[in-house]
Parts: sequence; structure tokens; C-alpha cells
Amino acid sequence: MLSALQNPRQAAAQLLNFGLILSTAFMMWKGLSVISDSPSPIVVVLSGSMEPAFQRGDLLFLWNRNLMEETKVGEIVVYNVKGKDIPIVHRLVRKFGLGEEAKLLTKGDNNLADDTELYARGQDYIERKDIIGSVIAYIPFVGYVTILLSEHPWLKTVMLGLMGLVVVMQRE
Amino acid sequence: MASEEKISVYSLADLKNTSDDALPAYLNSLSFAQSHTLTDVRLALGYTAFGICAATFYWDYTYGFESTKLLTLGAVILYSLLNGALTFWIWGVEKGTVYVGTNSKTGDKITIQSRTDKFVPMYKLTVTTESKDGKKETKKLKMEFREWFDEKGAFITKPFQRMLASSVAAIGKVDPKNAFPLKEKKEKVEDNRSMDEKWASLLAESAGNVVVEPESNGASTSTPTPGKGKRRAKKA
Repeated sequence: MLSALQNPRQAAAQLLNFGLILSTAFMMWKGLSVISDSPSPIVVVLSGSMEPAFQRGDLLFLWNRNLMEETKVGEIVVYNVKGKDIPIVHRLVRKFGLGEEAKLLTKGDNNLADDTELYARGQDYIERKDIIGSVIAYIPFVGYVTILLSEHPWLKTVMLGLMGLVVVMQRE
Repeated sequence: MASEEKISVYSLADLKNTSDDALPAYLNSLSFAQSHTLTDVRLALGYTAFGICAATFYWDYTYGFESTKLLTLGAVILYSLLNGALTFWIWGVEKGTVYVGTNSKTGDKITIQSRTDKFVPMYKLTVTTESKDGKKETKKLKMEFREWFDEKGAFITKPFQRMLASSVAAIGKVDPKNAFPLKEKKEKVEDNRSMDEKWASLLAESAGNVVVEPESNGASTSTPTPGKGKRRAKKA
């Protein structure tokens, strides 16, 4: 470590190793975003409103391109509501009209009522542009780590710090 | 620098890194001018890629996904290209090169690549020498790390330098003090007796008999003393 500080090129190279790990992860994420046309192509289920299809902590892969066909009733979609930060995973249960203008209604499989309650004040339906993707694949439970991390934020700091230290100190 | 730090002798990475670091320190002291082109290209590629990533992060954060989609697509492609070039540079061009330098006196250019195999404590060097008139020569060296690390993990400069100066002509030329012919080891043993004779003399010695040694072996063995002289001396 100390010898690395005496040699600026070696220090720069070690810092670069760390930077490249972070940036490659980020660019892979962005690449996936661009391919799936979704700002957030992988999401984690946070609530039990879609049980038994999805449990808390399931990892969902999204696809947001309508190739040759429209988003149909029965699809599980992830959508954003104006004024709310967290996207919601629910099933599309009603559709009026066609294309971009179609009025869509969603409902959680495990919920008694449809989602009108969850939409913004005065909003009775969502549109295609609110949807950030339909679920095309999922891995059960893997995402639970992120739930842990968001519920205990100090874990994030600890993890990042450890990762950084390991990469900077070792040259293996 | 390296000789003050102690490393774990069981860590192959430590052994290799310390030896790699010792190479430029030694060669630069022999009026070799180190060339950093390989490293600089690698750093430039890497940091450009990182810069693109940082820019992508910035515009994604400030302008959102939808309005910057095309820009992001371009950035992703450019990033993969740069990363691919970087990988090619490391595996295809650098190939573990730890030193490139030209000697200001003789004009010899040497390139040293180092390598270790997993869990085998051998230092493998490929030394390419290019003399002033363009004659190229490649030499492969394979040495055990224990030749220049003591059991506590301290780096011993002398045998390391001697190893390089003795086996690479271009280095030996500018560091004649360390350049030894490789037959050096033979000096230690000049005992020409056969195994049987040695055995017999050992037996005779333990029985307390006087042993007459061949002339060449003088100092290391017992001087002819009568009877049980040695044992008595120890007891007294």
C-alpha cells in the first residue's frame, strides 16, 4: 500500500482497477436499460401484494419494448405513479382503447381492490408511458439483500467501504 | 524500498509483486531509462472508459433516462469498445510486461515479462534484448523465489541482482560486479572422495581414530589429535 503511494503510476493503476469494477457494473446496467428500453430493467419485489406469484425479495427482469404486439391484459407490469418514487409491480386487469392512448387499470393479485387508490389524486387509470416494463423472468428471493440494505442503510456503507479497501489493498 | 518490508513467503502474489517492483529499481540504477508507454496507454484507455461512465452517470442523473436514451446507447457501445481494447492491451500487448528500458550507455533495449504459475513458487521471466543494431534475442529464465527471499520474507537485493546480471548479457555488461559465470556453485564442494571413503572417515572419527585428510580439505575437518582429544575437550 505504502509502496504504491510512492509510485504514482502504480497507484493510478490500482485506483483504476477499483474504478473499472464500479463503472463496468454501471455500464452493464445501462446497457441492459438501453436494450430493454426500460430505465430500471431489474427490480426487486418489495411487497406481498402479488403473492403467490411473487414474494418479497424476488428479482424481476423487465422488458419494455412492444415488438409487433401491444401490452395485453394479464401481463404483470411495473409502473410509476406521478409523485411517488417507488415503482409498483401489479397485473394489468383492464384495458380500454389501443396504443399509446389506451387506458389501463392494474391490480395486485393479493389485493382485494384494484389500484385506483394507489394512483395519484384524481387519476383513474394509467397509460402506456407510465409503465417501465413487463416482467419476463424472475429469480426468487435473490433480491432480498437489497431489501436488507435499504432497511438497514449502514450496511451499505460497510459493504462499499470493505469492497473499496479490498480492491485497493490487494494486487492479486 | 522493497528490502525493508517483509512479506509472507507463502503468498505467491507478494513474492511476485515484490520481485516485479525490484526490477525497475535495480535496472534504473544501471543507467537504464525506463519507458512507461505500455502502462500509460493502459491508464489512458482505462481512465477514458471511466470518464465516459462518469459522464453517463451525470446526464442520467440530471436529465433522466428517456431524454438521454440515444446518448446512453452510444456511451455503452463506446465503453465496451474501450474496455475491449483495454483487455486486448493487457492480454495481447503487455502480456505481463513489468519493465521496458533502454540503456543510455550501450543502447540495449530490454523488455522483461514476468509470470508465475498458480501455487508454484517459481519466478518466470522472459527477457527480450534488442541491441543497438536491431538484433533481437529472447531469453527465458525460471528461478525459485527462495533464491532472493529469506525464510522471514525479507527481500535480499544481492542474489536477485546477481541472478539478473549473470543470466542477461545486456545487464551483465553494465553491472560487471554482479555478473558471475553460472558455474559459481561448484566452488563450494571440492571434496573428491567417494561416498564410501567419507563414510569410513566418519566412522573412524567417531571411534576416536586419527584421520588423515586429503590436502584439499584442510580447514573444515578435525586436526589429527591423539585418542579421544575432542570428546575430552567438550566435557571440560
